[in-house]
Amino acid sequence: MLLDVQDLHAERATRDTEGRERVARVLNGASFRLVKGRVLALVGEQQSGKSLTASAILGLLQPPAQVVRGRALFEGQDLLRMSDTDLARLRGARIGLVVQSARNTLDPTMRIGTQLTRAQGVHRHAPRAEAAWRAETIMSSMGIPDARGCAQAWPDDLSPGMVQRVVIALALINEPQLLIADEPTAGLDITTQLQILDLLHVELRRRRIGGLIITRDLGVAAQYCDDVAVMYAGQVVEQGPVAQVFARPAHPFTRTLLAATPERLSLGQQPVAEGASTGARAQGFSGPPPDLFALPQGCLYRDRCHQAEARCDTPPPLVGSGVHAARCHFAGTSAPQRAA
Amino acid sequence: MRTHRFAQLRLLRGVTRRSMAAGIGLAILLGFAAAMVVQPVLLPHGAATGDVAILAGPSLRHPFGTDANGHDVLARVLHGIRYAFAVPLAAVLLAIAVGVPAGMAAGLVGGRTDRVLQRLFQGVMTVPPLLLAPALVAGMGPSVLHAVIALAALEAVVFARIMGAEVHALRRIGFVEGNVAMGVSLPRLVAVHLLPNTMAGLAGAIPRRVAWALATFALIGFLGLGPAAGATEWGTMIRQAMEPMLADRWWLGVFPAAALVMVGFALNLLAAGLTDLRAARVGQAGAVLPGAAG
Amino acid sequence: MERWGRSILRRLGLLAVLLLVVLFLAFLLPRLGAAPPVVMLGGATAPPAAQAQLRAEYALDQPVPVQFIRFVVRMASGDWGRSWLTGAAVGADLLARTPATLELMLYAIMLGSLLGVPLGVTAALNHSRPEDRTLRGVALLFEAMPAFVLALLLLVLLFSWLGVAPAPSGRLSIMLSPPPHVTGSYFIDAILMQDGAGARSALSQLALPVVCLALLVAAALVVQVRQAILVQRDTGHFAHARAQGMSRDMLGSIALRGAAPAIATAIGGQLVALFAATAVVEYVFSWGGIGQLGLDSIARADFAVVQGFILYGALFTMVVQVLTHLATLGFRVRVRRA
Repeated sequence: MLLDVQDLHAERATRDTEGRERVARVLNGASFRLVKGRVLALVGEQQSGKSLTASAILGLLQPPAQVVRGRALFEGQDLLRMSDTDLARLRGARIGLVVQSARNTLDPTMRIGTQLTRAQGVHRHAPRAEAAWRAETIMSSMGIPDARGCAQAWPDDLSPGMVQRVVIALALINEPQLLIADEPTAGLDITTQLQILDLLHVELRRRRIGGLIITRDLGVAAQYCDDVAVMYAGQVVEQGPVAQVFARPAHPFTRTLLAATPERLSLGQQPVAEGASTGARAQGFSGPPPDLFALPQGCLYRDRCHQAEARCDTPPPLVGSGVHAARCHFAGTSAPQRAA
Repeated sequence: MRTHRFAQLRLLRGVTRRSMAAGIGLAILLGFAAAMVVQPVLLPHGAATGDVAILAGPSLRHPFGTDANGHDVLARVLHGIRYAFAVPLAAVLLAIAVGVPAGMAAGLVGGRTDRVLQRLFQGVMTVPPLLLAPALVAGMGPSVLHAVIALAALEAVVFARIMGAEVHALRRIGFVEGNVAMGVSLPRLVAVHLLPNTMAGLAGAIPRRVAWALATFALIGFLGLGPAAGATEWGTMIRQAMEPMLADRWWLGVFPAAALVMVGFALNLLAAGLTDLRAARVGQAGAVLPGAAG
Repeated sequence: MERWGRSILRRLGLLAVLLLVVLFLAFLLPRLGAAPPVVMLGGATAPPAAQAQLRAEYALDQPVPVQFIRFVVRMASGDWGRSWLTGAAVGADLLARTPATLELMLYAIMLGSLLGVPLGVTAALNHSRPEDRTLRGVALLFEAMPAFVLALLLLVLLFSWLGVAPAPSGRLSIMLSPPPHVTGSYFIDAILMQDGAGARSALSQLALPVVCLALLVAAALVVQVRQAILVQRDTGHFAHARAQGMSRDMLGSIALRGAAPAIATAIGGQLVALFAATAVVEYVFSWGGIGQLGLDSIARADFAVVQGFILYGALFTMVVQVLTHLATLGFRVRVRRA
């Protein structure tokens, strides 16, 4: 077990325009497990807490957001109980982070090569020549054509695809055991997206480390990941091997997600769509996104769920067979056939 | 009178809830206002007390001591609140009345006139305003009225610049052109569209400007260019007190100075609180990962 | 290269226009109505012959535009008039007093920056915690103090009550005479001349005015530096640096590097504001520098000096602004698009 996140709860306090304090429950018992050598996709809508989970695990949440409960065990240590100094020793060294490549992720005041050597210097004493050599080597393996030239370049000179390769290099240069990639292809054109994903896929396999890929794109999950965890309203509602979850989704939300993007799947399996039994088209998302200030009692999805009943008042248990589980009262039973 | 006081308290509570700093600042200012109202009744200034104690240090009877004429310093300081409130406020209001239309006109007209005006304003602001104001007063002749005019003139330039910048910002996003294209008449454009959108920027600047006017007016008084020598304006009082103050009669100058600083501090708190409020409305901090707002 | 040349020309043109506006302001001052210009410029007690000469010099009987042109030409050629109080030539007097004022300002800005920048960084790194709130509160308190108030309060405290500071009698104790002129700074010249007593006295006279000004500078800088650093904290590359596991010290230096242009601008702004504050402090301490001359002349309606003083202040502002701009350009080249 590389990463074991248990019951992660986080809140963010804000003041509304009246000056009153309101608390948004941004993470509500998110739990998932990541095994070394496998890649887990964390999927969900916007604001479902995917990126927040990564921030929370690494201790990067800034006030007014804070973790209020939960454990995040990495190599046996609870990351949430560690001091920032200890966490800093893990970040960039044992756990690599690839952020969305915004133009301002890389330090604009340093050349690429210097940033790569600096990243090594943070965690170990490497003589300059060796660090430079490592930097160049990793840039080449990232598919950067002129590694030496790139090392001399400034971030401003690089294309978004190159920037993302450098960010991945920075995350991998200290040989971490876990790589977390947050929407690694956002803002890139299609061709570059595929290249980056391929690159990640290859690197994760080659190094035999664990990977956590946060994405909104189910296709990415399907193609490049081994397992998937589906998030809704700050909670993991279903987790399992990606083939199983997409073929036989156990949670209504997963079914809805899949129904909304049929073309992106390449598993050759038709997803079970809500209302498909009547031949009608998939229902799609019904209802507004969850109000994190006022979440319902019990199952968080019940306001949007077709199957919601009285028992959805109580928090649903995790139902499932070992690797594939979902947080739903109805998981394990087939979707009820709806009368026309 | 009663409802008036209560309304102020309610305002105070509302503001404090949103920003402790602004609340404290407002409370201090209201305190001074109350003291100003109360002073003529409780501590009439100028009336020589029966036993005239000259240059007496602070005591129970005269908490701030007495001055060379036997007057109670506390009464004089409280009496001086009216200068501290009236002059800066008058100057700022006058400045807004003149500067805001000027800035807006310049921004709307645009082109050469606007650029020329901008250069003019910039030139005026190149001279350290803290020194230009007393120089203007000296040129017009020392008096409170001239001080108000000089302060208002300099503040008007500041407001004109603020207004000009706001109008420019709105022009840049096509707000003005859009409305004109829709056929909105000029007065309507100004009143309904421009003013409300620029109000926030202006209102936020006001406490700082009042504080500046107060400090500069105090300097004008300190140089002897304000009201006549015996007036209770704090800068003038400090001027009178400078020599005796350094010869151990500290109460003559320290108390007016403390009052001056307190009012200025309250205004600064108010200003800081207002900016915090606006920042809080615009965005909040959260997770560190870019794009990870939720 | 040609682009540089053109932008420099444009900049110079702008400065010329600003200078013209300032000259016009200075020109207006003796004509604002307190007394006839000839009295403002020549004093009320000037004999008729002197008045007539003044009228001729300043072309006071000519139409205003002519007067203005005459004024600009005279100022440009270095003839800044004469004080009716002392009879001294304004230009020469201002120049002679420059070292005294410059010394005060330099020590004040250095001490103020040494105090204000680290405190601002501390406040930013302790964002929203008690250290931050207290620092901001104290800074706001000092910002509310007019320079003359702080100067007098410090004098009362340290001279009247505690007796540790010398009397505000100027740059040197009244019992000593100034050292021979080398740099113009009594302190440095005394040291160069190995005049121990002189150096000690100059230093002790310097202490209080410098501290007073430095406190004001530091207060303003704390707020501005704090803001500049906080802005850095919200940038993507700062967050990324954290994600790479950099320690607090490394993060602090990253933030500082990013905030360098803003901090340089803040310090430049304080230097500009320092001119006026120094003038006030000089007035209180009888410093014998430009500021005392200027404020004295304002208080006593010696308008030839006032005109020169105002012009001097504007020139100082412009020079500092240009230098600050150049400095930030230098930073920006290194900092690129940070």
